[in-house]
Amino acid sequence: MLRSPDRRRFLRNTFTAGALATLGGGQAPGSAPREEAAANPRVRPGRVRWHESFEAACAAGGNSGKPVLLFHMMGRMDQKFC
Amino acid sequence: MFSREDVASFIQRSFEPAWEMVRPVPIVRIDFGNGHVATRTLHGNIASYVCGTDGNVVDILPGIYTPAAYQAALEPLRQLALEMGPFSQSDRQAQLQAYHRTRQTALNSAAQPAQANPNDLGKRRMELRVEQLVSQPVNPVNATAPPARPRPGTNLADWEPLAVDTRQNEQERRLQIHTRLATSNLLRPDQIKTWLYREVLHADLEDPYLGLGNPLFGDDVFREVEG
Repeated sequence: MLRSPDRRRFLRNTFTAGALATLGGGQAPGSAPREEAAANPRVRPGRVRWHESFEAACAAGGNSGKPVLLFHMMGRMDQKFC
Repeated sequence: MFSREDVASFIQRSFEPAWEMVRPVPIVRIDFGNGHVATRTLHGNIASYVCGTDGNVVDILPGIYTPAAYQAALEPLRQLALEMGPFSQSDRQAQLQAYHRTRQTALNSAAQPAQANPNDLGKRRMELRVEQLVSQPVNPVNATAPPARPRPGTNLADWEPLAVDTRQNEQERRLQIHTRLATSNLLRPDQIKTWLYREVLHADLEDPYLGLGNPLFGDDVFREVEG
């Protein structure tokens, strides 16, 4: 049985390690975790030059006069498995 | 399809294109424990929205098309979107509702299709084997034999089940869309995608298991443990 100071140190270290693991595994918005990136590698999203967002496509259409084509899918166009 | 030069060129010169993920695609990964891993996707489905530059939907192509049919279906929608451009928002709404009513009437008047298949024939042939692996049939003795899949190297543009999917998309699914849009105010894609995926593409985005929850966990003694 751990004495109280040892128990507090153990709990603090465990909590810190867990928080660091979570933060270390955290990713910037929109990017895949490292292990997921390895399992579902990035690929070129076809030959179409896609705008970064629907809003960007609409703005471009305002300049070019072209209508917008929005493609909805499950998964990501720039990943192998989609 | 977007790797094809003809499709990519057509899209590039005709539209300002963008793509969005509606939800992560379910992936089945089987680790055989000897270094071999098989990875497949489940339940992917797609929708193509033609929109004005104001972001409002003009029309929608549901599901998978052959490359030629995709371009042929997009071209009149491109022209329609261009014609809508000069109108005010209220006039545009009225014009689009009239367009969708006309298309609805035309499809209703067309020859009745064969019994509706809620699942894409081509897509199902690609995915059914994986679903059968994931969810054991209740009675394995009577389990449906997995349908034939295209041979490696098959040009999918010429694959007959894909052509069947295309016809179903153009007849049954577009009728559902025209019926909905004939009475709708102007909509943005994110305002209609949940309905579209649930009612037309039969993939409920709000179901975390996309309809596979019961086959997977319905009789699973460990369901409570896994949560």
